[in-house]
Amino acid sequence: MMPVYVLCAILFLTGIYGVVAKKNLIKIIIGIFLMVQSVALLLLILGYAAGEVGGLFQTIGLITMIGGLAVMSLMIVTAVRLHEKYGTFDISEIRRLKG
Amino acid sequence: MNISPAAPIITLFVGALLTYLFGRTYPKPKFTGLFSLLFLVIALVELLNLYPGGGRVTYSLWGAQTFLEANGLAIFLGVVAVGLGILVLIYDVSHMKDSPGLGRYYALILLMIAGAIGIGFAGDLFNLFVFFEVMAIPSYALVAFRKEKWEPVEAAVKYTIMSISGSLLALGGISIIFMYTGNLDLNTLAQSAANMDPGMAIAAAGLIIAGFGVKVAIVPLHMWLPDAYQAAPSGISALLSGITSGAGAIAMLKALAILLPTGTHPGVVLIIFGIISMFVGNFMALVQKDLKRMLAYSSIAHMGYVVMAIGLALNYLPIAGEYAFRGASFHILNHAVMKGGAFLCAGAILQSIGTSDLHEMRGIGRKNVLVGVAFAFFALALAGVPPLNGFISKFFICKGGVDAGGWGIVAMSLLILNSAISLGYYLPALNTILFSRDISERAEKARPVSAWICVPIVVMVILTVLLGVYPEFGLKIVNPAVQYLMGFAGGL
Repeated sequence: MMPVYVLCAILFLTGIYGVVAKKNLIKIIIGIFLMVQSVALLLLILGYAAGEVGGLFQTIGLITMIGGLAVMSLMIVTAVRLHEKYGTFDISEIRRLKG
Repeated sequence: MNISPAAPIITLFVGALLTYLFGRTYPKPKFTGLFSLLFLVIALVELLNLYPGGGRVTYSLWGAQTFLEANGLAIFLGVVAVGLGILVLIYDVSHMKDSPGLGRYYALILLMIAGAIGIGFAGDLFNLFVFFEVMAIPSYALVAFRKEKWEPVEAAVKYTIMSISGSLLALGGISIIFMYTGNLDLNTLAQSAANMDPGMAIAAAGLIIAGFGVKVAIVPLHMWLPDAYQAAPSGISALLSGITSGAGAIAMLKALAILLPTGTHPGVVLIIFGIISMFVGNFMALVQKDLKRMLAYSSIAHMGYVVMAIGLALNYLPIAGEYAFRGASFHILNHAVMKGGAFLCAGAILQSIGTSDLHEMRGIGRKNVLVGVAFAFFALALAGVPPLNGFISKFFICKGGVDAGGWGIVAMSLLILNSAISLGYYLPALNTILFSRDISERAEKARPVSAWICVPIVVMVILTVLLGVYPEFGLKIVNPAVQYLMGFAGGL
């Protein structure tokens, strides 16, 4: 079972890399989405390993995905507003988001 | 009357839905606000009915059992959140009257408050996380509510990115706990966590501190806070600093307390980060030129006091736990009152002169006497001047530090030092607003403040003084919370 957990961790770290290192807002959003999905995946796998069907793990996994979707739609809307304002998704050109 | 512990949360969920529909069908802003106020009042009555706690409700989601529990801590957090929410909604009737889409605004506020109450009521880590998200997601949208300006949208993007990453880290910590114990019920989790692998327990504690720490804004994770508080509507700044950071601290405390039997020492980390937060918050506040931004940095410092008190309590539980928990809970209550009030004053000034730049506020206190004098009360209370409420809770935290002895006394003296530093920016701000010799052009033309704004500010001034000179009034709801926490963290 261990390699699967490691894969989840790799997926999560890829997401963090996207959030920390990328300048494009859309890529940052994709990074966050990867983080959400990796945690949801981990929970679902844990549930499967525990041999439960429709138990607490899977419920949390499902709710994580729903929450992730809500946040995602919100972030895409704000990103579109920023694009209307600045004509770019590059956060280094958007004033406040530096640092 | 016998009511279910889930009642206040359900009331607010239903209220959010109905408020949204009401705002769509009857677009008269004042009535939308008053309509949503109704649900908060009902929730407050239900919470007071549940006082002093007791009762547990189990519900099942796709076959999984989860719990909501009405204990002292839950009632405490609920009363703080709903009380501040009522005052802010009265304030917003006038403050937000020109904004479009108020149905959405009030519905999101109700959801946020429901989430904060739920954090207190959560009987297991699953509910804790779900309600944390229920609180967090509306707050992202509320920060960006004035979407036609660029500051709120940018601040919201920054806030969302940091906060959602934090939530996921906390969820990672919770899933590690669940992986090793197969149990999430807070009442029995400590026994099952006792024989957890120590390395994994440390990893889980670290993830939980980092995750919930983003909402509390302990220092390396505070970057979003000044932007968000400055850009959000003032009522939302008051709610964010008064409710969400306090609820975040309580969520962190609940999740960390069950890891104590594993031999980890999360308290030490919290004390260190609390002290760093105090210093960074206070020193950054010293150099701010904008009133709302200054108050935002001072929120970081105040949450540093709370986090330090929680750390002291968790680390020196049997000897210092009682006063440190009392200090932390009482400070969450007082911070909601005084910082909420200060943000409402800042919003009232912002509305009457059109800017929150401190230099432009010269002499505004002599034009709007009520707001100026009220701000003086809040600023002095925040700095911890004796007869007011900020002093009492800082005193309890210091008593906790003295009880702990050793490093506790060092931490306590740093808290006192920080209170002195904080006078260094409250007094100049007060001087500019109330005692400045010249009156700025904008202040000269200041518009009068509506009664809807004055009423909540006056109520908060009364509370600030009352909780200071007669703390037993506040201790009535704080003490059951302390009792619960002592039993919860100590009895394990």
